[in-house]
Amino acid sequence: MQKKISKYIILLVCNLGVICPMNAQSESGNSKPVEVEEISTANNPVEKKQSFIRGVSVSTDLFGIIGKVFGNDYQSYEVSAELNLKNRFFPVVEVGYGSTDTTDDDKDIHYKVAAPYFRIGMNYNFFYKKDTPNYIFGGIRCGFSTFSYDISAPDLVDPIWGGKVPFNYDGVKSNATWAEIVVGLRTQIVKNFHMGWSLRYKRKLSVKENPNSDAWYIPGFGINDSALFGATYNLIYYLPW
Amino acid sequence: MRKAIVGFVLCIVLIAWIGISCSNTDCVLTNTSYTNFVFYNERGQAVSLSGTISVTAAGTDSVLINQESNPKMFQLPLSYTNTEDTFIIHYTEKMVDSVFVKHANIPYFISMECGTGMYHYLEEVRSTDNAIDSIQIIDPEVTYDAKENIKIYYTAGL
Repeated sequence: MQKKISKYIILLVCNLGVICPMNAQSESGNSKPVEVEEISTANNPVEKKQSFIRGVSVSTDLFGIIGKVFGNDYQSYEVSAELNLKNRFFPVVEVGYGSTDTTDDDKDIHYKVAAPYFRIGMNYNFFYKKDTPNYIFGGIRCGFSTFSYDISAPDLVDPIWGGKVPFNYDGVKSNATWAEIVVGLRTQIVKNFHMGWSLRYKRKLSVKENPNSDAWYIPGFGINDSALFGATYNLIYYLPW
Repeated sequence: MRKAIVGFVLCIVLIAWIGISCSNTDCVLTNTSYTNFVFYNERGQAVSLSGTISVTAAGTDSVLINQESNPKMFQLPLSYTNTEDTFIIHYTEKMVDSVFVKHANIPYFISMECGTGMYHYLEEVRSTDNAIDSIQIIDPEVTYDAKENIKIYYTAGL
Protein backbone atom coordinates (compact mmCIF):
# COMPACT_ATOMS: atom_id res chain seq x y z
CA MET A 1 0.00 0.00 0.00
CA GLN A 2 2.78 2.40 0.98
CA LYS A 3 4.51 1.71 -2.28
CA LYS A 4 1.31 2.39 -4.17
CA ILE A 5 0.74 5.70 -2.38
CA SER A 6 4.31 6.78 -3.08
CA LYS A 7 3.75 5.95 -6.70
CA TYR A 8 0.81 8.30 -6.93
CA ILE A 9 2.47 11.09 -4.98
CA ILE A 10 5.38 11.01 -7.40
CA LEU A 11 2.83 10.93 -10.17
CA LEU A 12 1.14 14.04 -8.89
CA VAL A 13 4.19 16.20 -8.34
CA CYS A 14 5.95 15.50 -11.59
CA ASN A 15 4.95 17.26 -14.76
CA LEU A 16 4.47 13.99 -16.52
CA GLY A 17 1.60 13.46 -14.15
CA VAL A 18 -0.44 15.62 -16.46
CA ILE A 19 -0.56 12.83 -18.97
CA CYS A 20 0.17 9.67 -17.01
CA PRO A 21 -2.68 9.25 -14.50
CA MET A 22 -5.01 7.73 -17.03
CA ASN A 23 -2.69 4.87 -17.59
CA ALA A 24 -1.62 4.54 -13.99
CA GLN A 25 -5.14 3.74 -12.91
CA SER A 26 -5.46 0.81 -15.24
CA GLU A 27 -6.58 -2.11 -13.09
CA SER A 28 -4.46 -4.64 -14.89
CA GLY A 29 -1.39 -2.48 -14.46
CA ASN A 30 -0.72 -2.62 -18.17
CA SER A 31 -0.33 0.64 -20.02
CA LYS A 32 -3.14 0.33 -22.51
CA PRO A 33 -3.31 2.87 -25.30
CA VAL A 34 -5.47 5.71 -24.05
CA GLU A 35 -7.41 6.00 -27.31
CA VAL A 36 -8.63 2.40 -26.99
CA GLU A 37 -9.89 3.06 -23.49
CA GLU A 38 -11.68 6.20 -24.65
CA ILE A 39 -13.53 4.41 -27.41
CA SER A 40 -14.64 1.58 -25.15
CA THR A 41 -15.98 4.06 -22.57
CA ALA A 42 -17.90 6.05 -25.13
CA ASN A 43 -19.55 2.96 -26.44
CA ASN A 44 -20.42 1.62 -23.03
CA PRO A 45 -24.25 1.68 -22.72
CA VAL A 46 -23.99 1.70 -18.92
CA GLU A 47 -22.47 5.20 -18.96
CA LYS A 48 -25.44 6.61 -20.84
CA LYS A 49 -27.69 5.65 -17.95
CA GLN A 50 -25.54 7.34 -15.32
CA SER A 51 -27.19 10.09 -13.33
CA PHE A 52 -26.64 13.79 -13.75
CA ILE A 53 -24.94 13.94 -10.36
CA ARG A 54 -22.17 11.36 -10.32
CA GLY A 55 -20.75 12.01 -6.88
CA VAL A 56 -19.72 14.41 -4.18
CA SER A 57 -16.31 15.06 -2.67
CA VAL A 58 -14.94 16.75 0.40
CA SER A 59 -11.33 17.87 0.53
CA THR A 60 -8.81 19.74 2.62
CA ASP A 61 -5.81 21.79 1.55
CA LEU A 62 -2.57 20.51 3.06
CA PHE A 63 -0.41 23.26 1.54
CA GLY A 64 -2.07 25.99 3.59
CA ILE A 65 -1.56 24.05 6.80
CA ILE A 66 2.10 23.23 6.33
CA GLY A 67 2.95 26.56 4.65
CA LYS A 68 4.26 28.00 7.90
CA VAL A 69 6.72 25.11 8.20
CA PHE A 70 8.29 26.26 4.93
CA GLY A 71 8.76 29.83 6.08
CA ASN A 72 5.45 31.48 5.28
CA ASP A 73 4.28 34.09 7.77
CA TYR A 74 0.70 33.00 7.27
CA GLN A 75 -1.40 29.88 7.60
CA SER A 76 -4.78 28.71 6.41
CA TYR A 77 -7.12 25.83 7.11
CA GLU A 78 -9.45 25.05 4.27
CA VAL A 79 -12.14 22.52 3.42
CA SER A 80 -14.12 22.33 0.23
CA ALA A 81 -17.14 20.48 -1.09
CA GLU A 82 -17.62 19.62 -4.73
CA LEU A 83 -20.34 18.04 -6.85
CA ASN A 84 -19.55 15.90 -9.86
CA LEU A 85 -22.00 16.77 -12.62
CA LYS A 86 -21.75 14.35 -15.55
CA ASN A 87 -18.02 13.98 -14.81
CA ARG A 88 -17.59 17.30 -16.60
CA PHE A 89 -18.66 20.19 -14.40
CA PHE A 90 -17.71 20.42 -10.74
CA PRO A 91 -19.38 23.26 -8.82
CA VAL A 92 -17.32 23.83 -5.71
CA VAL A 93 -17.54 25.73 -2.43
CA GLU A 94 -14.38 26.39 -0.43
CA VAL A 95 -14.41 27.59 3.16
CA GLY A 96 -11.28 28.44 5.07
CA TYR A 97 -9.73 30.27 7.95
CA GLY A 98 -6.62 32.33 7.22
CA SER A 99 -4.36 33.92 9.78
CA THR A 100 -1.05 35.64 10.31
CA ASP A 101 0.64 37.12 13.34
CA THR A 102 3.94 38.47 12.19
CA THR A 103 6.50 41.14 12.98
CA ASP A 104 8.90 42.62 10.45
CA ASP A 105 12.31 42.51 12.12
CA ASP A 106 13.77 45.43 10.16
CA LYS A 107 10.94 47.91 10.60
CA ASP A 108 9.43 46.50 13.80
CA ILE A 109 5.94 46.49 12.29
CA HIS A 110 3.46 44.01 13.76
CA TYR A 111 0.44 42.80 11.77
CA LYS A 112 -2.19 40.37 13.02
CA VAL A 113 -5.31 39.02 11.35
CA ALA A 114 -7.41 35.87 11.64
CA ALA A 115 -10.68 35.47 9.76
CA PRO A 116 -12.75 33.11 7.64
CA TYR A 117 -12.97 33.30 3.87
CA PHE A 118 -15.21 31.80 1.22
CA ARG A 119 -14.84 30.89 -2.41
CA ILE A 120 -17.40 29.62 -4.86
CA GLY A 121 -16.76 28.46 -8.38
CA MET A 122 -16.64 25.67 -10.89
CA ASN A 123 -14.09 23.21 -12.24
CA TYR A 124 -14.18 21.76 -15.72
CA ASN A 125 -12.75 18.28 -16.26
CA PHE A 126 -10.91 18.18 -19.57
CA PHE A 127 -11.04 14.36 -19.50
CA TYR A 128 -14.77 14.16 -18.91
CA LYS A 129 -15.24 11.47 -21.54
CA LYS A 130 -13.10 9.07 -19.58
CA ASP A 131 -14.97 7.40 -16.76
CA THR A 132 -11.95 7.23 -14.47
CA PRO A 133 -11.38 8.73 -11.03
CA ASN A 134 -8.67 10.99 -12.44
CA TYR A 135 -9.20 14.59 -13.44
CA ILE A 136 -7.28 17.26 -15.21
CA PHE A 137 -9.22 20.41 -14.72
CA GLY A 138 -9.41 24.14 -15.16
CA GLY A 139 -11.73 26.37 -13.22
CA ILE A 140 -12.68 29.73 -11.83
CA ARG A 141 -13.40 31.00 -8.34
CA CYS A 142 -14.86 34.08 -6.72
CA GLY A 143 -13.51 34.73 -3.23
CA PHE A 144 -14.71 36.91 -0.39
CA SER A 145 -13.51 37.67 3.12
CA THR A 146 -14.53 40.09 5.85
CA PHE A 147 -11.89 40.59 8.50
CA SER A 148 -10.38 42.87 11.14
CA TYR A 149 -6.67 43.40 11.62
CA ASP A 150 -4.34 44.90 14.21
CA ILE A 151 -1.31 46.87 13.16
CA SER A 152 1.36 48.63 15.16
CA ALA A 153 4.64 50.27 14.26
CA PRO A 154 7.24 52.55 15.87
CA ASP A 155 6.27 56.17 16.48
CA LEU A 156 6.55 58.52 13.51
CA VAL A 157 9.18 61.15 14.32
CA ASP A 158 8.87 64.57 12.70
CA PRO A 159 12.33 65.49 11.33
CA ILE A 160 11.63 69.25 10.95
CA TRP A 161 9.20 70.40 13.64
CA GLY A 162 9.96 67.62 16.09
CA GLY A 163 7.46 65.54 18.05
CA LYS A 164 6.22 61.98 17.72
CA VAL A 165 2.99 60.41 16.51
CA PRO A 166 2.14 56.90 17.76
CA PHE A 167 1.14 54.25 15.24
CA ASN A 168 -1.13 51.66 16.80
CA TYR A 169 -4.48 50.59 15.31
CA ASP A 170 -6.50 47.63 16.56
CA GLY A 171 -9.60 46.06 15.07
CA VAL A 172 -9.40 47.82 11.69
CA LYS A 173 -12.31 46.47 9.67
CA SER A 174 -11.97 45.58 6.02
CA ASN A 175 -13.27 43.25 3.36
CA ALA A 176 -12.02 42.01 0.02
CA THR A 177 -13.21 40.20 -3.09
CA TRP A 178 -11.08 38.47 -5.68
CA ALA A 179 -11.23 36.11 -8.65
CA GLU A 180 -9.09 33.07 -9.35
CA ILE A 181 -8.20 31.01 -12.40
CA VAL A 182 -7.40 27.45 -11.41
CA VAL A 183 -5.66 24.55 -13.14
CA GLY A 184 -4.86 21.26 -11.52
CA LEU A 185 -5.07 17.54 -11.48
CA ARG A 186 -6.08 14.82 -9.09
CA THR A 187 -5.85 11.08 -8.99
CA GLN A 188 -7.12 8.23 -6.87
CA ILE A 189 -4.72 6.80 -4.30
CA VAL A 190 -7.01 4.25 -2.66
CA LYS A 191 -10.70 3.61 -3.01
CA ASN A 192 -12.62 6.87 -2.53
CA PHE A 193 -9.47 8.77 -1.51
CA HIS A 194 -7.84 11.10 -3.99
CA MET A 195 -4.93 13.51 -3.94
CA GLY A 196 -4.35 16.45 -6.20
CA TRP A 197 -2.83 19.85 -6.63
CA SER A 198 -3.90 23.09 -8.19
CA LEU A 199 -2.19 26.27 -9.33
CA ARG A 200 -4.11 29.47 -8.91
CA TYR A 201 -3.79 32.90 -10.40
CA LYS A 202 -5.52 35.34 -8.07
CA ARG A 203 -6.68 38.79 -9.12
CA LYS A 204 -7.90 41.24 -6.53
CA LEU A 205 -11.21 42.84 -7.42
CA SER A 206 -11.78 45.09 -4.44
CA VAL A 207 -10.53 45.79 -0.95
CA LYS A 208 -11.93 48.24 1.53
CA GLU A 209 -9.39 50.96 2.22
CA ASN A 210 -9.00 52.60 5.58
CA PRO A 211 -7.80 56.10 6.48
CA ASN A 212 -4.54 54.91 8.03
CA SER A 213 -3.76 51.65 6.31
CA ASP A 214 -4.58 49.10 3.69
CA ALA A 215 -4.80 45.46 4.69
CA TRP A 216 -1.42 43.77 4.25
CA TYR A 217 -2.67 40.18 4.34
CA ILE A 218 -6.13 39.13 3.15
CA PRO A 219 -7.34 35.73 4.44
CA GLY A 220 -7.88 33.40 1.48
CA PHE A 221 -6.14 35.73 -0.97
CA GLY A 222 -2.69 36.32 0.49
CA ILE A 223 -0.48 39.37 0.51
CA ASN A 224 -2.46 42.40 -0.62
CA ASP A 225 -1.24 42.91 -4.16
CA SER A 226 -3.13 43.42 -7.38
CA ALA A 227 -2.43 39.83 -8.41
CA LEU A 228 -0.47 36.83 -7.22
CA PHE A 229 -0.09 33.09 -7.58
CA GLY A 230 -1.15 30.42 -5.13
CA ALA A 231 -1.17 26.66 -4.89
CA THR A 232 -3.10 23.96 -3.08
CA TYR A 233 -2.33 20.32 -2.37
CA ASN A 234 -5.52 18.50 -1.58
CA LEU A 235 -6.51 15.32 0.18
CA ILE A 236 -9.94 14.38 -1.12
CA TYR A 237 -12.67 11.96 -0.06
CA TYR A 238 -14.89 11.14 -3.01
CA LEU A 239 -18.25 9.51 -2.62
CA PRO A 240 -19.77 8.20 -5.85
CA TRP A 241 -23.49 8.89 -6.15
CA MET B 1 -7.56 13.19 -25.41
CA ARG B 2 -5.46 15.64 -27.40
CA LYS B 3 -8.07 18.37 -26.98
CA ALA B 4 -8.05 17.80 -23.23
CA ILE B 5 -4.29 18.10 -22.97
CA VAL B 6 -4.26 21.15 -25.22
CA GLY B 7 -6.96 22.73 -23.06
CA PHE B 8 -5.01 22.08 -19.87
CA VAL B 9 -1.77 23.40 -21.33
CA LEU B 10 -3.58 26.50 -22.60
CA CYS B 11 -4.89 27.14 -19.09
CA ILE B 12 -1.35 27.00 -17.67
CA VAL B 13 -0.05 29.26 -20.44
CA LEU B 14 -2.90 31.68 -19.76
CA ILE B 15 -2.06 31.79 -16.08
CA ALA B 16 1.64 32.32 -16.81
CA TRP B 17 0.84 35.05 -19.33
CA ILE B 18 -1.48 36.88 -16.99
CA GLY B 19 1.08 36.49 -14.25
CA ILE B 20 3.51 38.67 -16.16
CA SER B 21 1.31 41.62 -15.29
CA CYS B 22 1.84 41.04 -11.56
CA SER B 23 3.04 44.25 -9.97
CA ASN B 24 5.55 44.78 -7.24
CA THR B 25 5.46 47.83 -5.04
CA ASP B 26 8.60 49.95 -5.08
CA CYS B 27 9.33 51.69 -1.82
CA VAL B 28 10.29 55.36 -1.70
CA LEU B 29 13.77 56.03 -0.38
CA THR B 30 12.73 58.59 2.23
CA ASN B 31 9.56 58.15 4.22
CA THR B 32 8.58 61.81 3.88
CA SER B 33 5.71 63.13 1.85
CA TYR B 34 6.18 66.57 0.27
CA THR B 35 3.73 69.26 -0.73
CA ASN B 36 4.50 70.36 -4.28
CA PHE B 37 4.19 74.09 -5.00
CA VAL B 38 4.31 75.08 -8.68
CA PHE B 39 4.76 78.68 -9.91
CA TYR B 40 2.58 80.50 -12.47
CA ASN B 41 2.30 84.03 -13.78
CA GLU B 42 -0.93 86.02 -13.64
CA ARG B 43 -1.99 84.59 -17.01
CA GLY B 44 -1.74 81.04 -15.70
CA GLN B 45 1.46 80.11 -17.53
CA ALA B 46 4.05 78.02 -15.68
CA VAL B 47 7.13 80.14 -14.93
CA SER B 48 10.45 79.93 -13.18
CA LEU B 49 11.41 82.61 -10.69
CA SER B 50 14.39 84.83 -11.48
CA GLY B 51 17.26 84.91 -8.99
CA THR B 52 17.53 82.60 -6.01
CA ILE B 53 15.01 81.79 -3.31
CA SER B 54 15.21 80.22 0.12
CA VAL B 55 12.37 78.83 2.21
CA THR B 56 12.34 78.47 5.97
CA ALA B 57 9.77 77.00 8.33
CA ALA B 58 8.52 79.44 10.96
CA GLY B 59 9.09 78.23 14.49
CA THR B 60 12.12 76.16 13.54
CA ASP B 61 15.70 76.87 12.53
CA SER B 62 15.35 74.64 9.46
CA VAL B 63 16.16 75.94 5.99
CA LEU B 64 13.99 73.82 3.71
CA ILE B 65 15.12 75.36 0.40
CA ASN B 66 18.56 76.97 0.36
CA GLN B 67 19.24 79.57 -2.35
CA GLU B 68 17.83 77.62 -5.25
CA SER B 69 18.33 79.30 -8.60
CA ASN B 70 15.47 79.94 -11.01
CA PRO B 71 13.12 77.39 -9.50
CA LYS B 72 9.93 76.33 -11.27
CA MET B 73 8.55 74.69 -8.15
CA PHE B 74 9.54 73.53 -4.70
CA GLN B 75 8.68 70.66 -2.39
CA LEU B 76 8.04 71.30 1.29
CA PRO B 77 7.33 68.88 4.14
CA LEU B 78 4.48 69.53 6.55
CA SER B 79 4.45 69.15 10.31
CA TYR B 80 3.41 65.76 11.75
CA THR B 81 1.73 67.24 14.83
CA ASN B 82 0.70 70.83 13.96
CA THR B 83 -2.36 71.52 11.84
CA GLU B 84 -1.10 74.83 10.45
CA ASP B 85 2.40 75.55 9.15
CA THR B 86 3.95 78.82 8.09
CA PHE B 87 6.62 78.92 5.40
CA ILE B 88 8.66 82.04 4.69
CA ILE B 89 9.86 82.48 1.10
CA HIS B 90 12.95 84.69 0.88
CA TYR B 91 13.34 86.32 -2.58
CA THR B 92 15.90 88.86 -1.42
CA GLU B 93 17.09 89.96 2.01
CA LYS B 94 14.28 92.51 2.19
CA MET B 95 11.56 90.85 0.15
CA VAL B 96 9.74 87.86 1.61
CA ASP B 97 6.33 86.24 1.44
CA SER B 98 4.69 83.99 4.00
CA VAL B 99 2.55 81.00 3.05
CA PHE B 100 0.13 79.54 5.61
CA VAL B 101 -1.01 75.95 5.12
CA LYS B 102 -3.77 74.32 7.17
CA HIS B 103 -3.77 70.53 6.98
CA ALA B 104 -4.79 67.27 8.61
CA ASN B 105 -2.12 64.68 9.41
CA ILE B 106 -2.67 61.05 8.42
CA PRO B 107 -0.27 58.41 9.77
CA TYR B 108 -0.27 55.71 7.10
CA PHE B 109 0.85 52.08 6.87
CA ILE B 110 2.09 51.42 3.36
CA SER B 111 3.29 47.83 3.61
CA MET B 112 5.50 45.56 5.69
CA GLU B 113 8.31 46.15 3.19
CA CYS B 114 7.89 49.92 2.84
CA GLY B 115 6.92 50.73 6.40
CA THR B 116 4.86 53.67 7.60
CA GLY B 117 4.78 57.34 6.70
CA MET B 118 2.88 60.54 7.29
CA TYR B 119 0.40 61.70 4.68
CA HIS B 120 -1.47 65.00 4.84
CA TYR B 121 -4.73 66.47 3.62
CA LEU B 122 -4.62 70.17 2.68
CA GLU B 123 -7.56 72.14 4.04
CA GLU B 124 -6.72 75.78 3.40
CA VAL B 125 -3.87 77.86 2.03
CA ARG B 126 -3.27 81.61 2.06
CA SER B 127 -0.31 83.94 1.70
CA THR B 128 0.96 87.47 1.99
CA ASP B 129 0.97 89.46 -1.25
CA ASN B 130 4.40 91.06 -1.59
CA ALA B 131 5.27 89.06 -4.70
CA ILE B 132 2.48 86.53 -4.69
CA ASP B 133 -0.72 87.43 -6.50
CA SER B 134 -2.80 84.47 -5.31
CA ILE B 135 -2.46 80.89 -4.16
CA GLN B 136 -4.78 77.89 -4.44
CA ILE B 137 -4.99 74.19 -3.65
CA ILE B 138 -5.12 71.94 -6.73
CA ASP B 139 -4.83 68.51 -5.14
CA PRO B 140 -5.33 68.31 -1.36
CA GLU B 141 -3.83 64.83 -0.90
CA VAL B 142 -0.16 64.95 0.03
CA THR B 143 1.32 61.48 -0.36
CA TYR B 144 4.47 60.00 -1.86
CA ASP B 145 3.10 60.66 -5.33
CA ALA B 146 4.85 63.46 -7.20
CA LYS B 147 1.81 65.56 -8.08
CA GLU B 148 1.04 69.23 -8.05
CA ASN B 149 -0.68 70.22 -4.83
CA ILE B 150 -0.61 74.01 -4.75
CA LYS B 151 -0.40 76.71 -7.44
CA ILE B 152 1.30 80.00 -6.61
CA TYR B 153 0.48 82.87 -8.99
CA TYR B 154 3.13 85.61 -9.02
CA THR B 155 2.74 89.21 -10.06
CA ALA B 156 4.61 90.30 -13.16
CA GLY B 157 8.19 91.41 -12.86
CA LEU B 158 9.47 88.87 -10.34
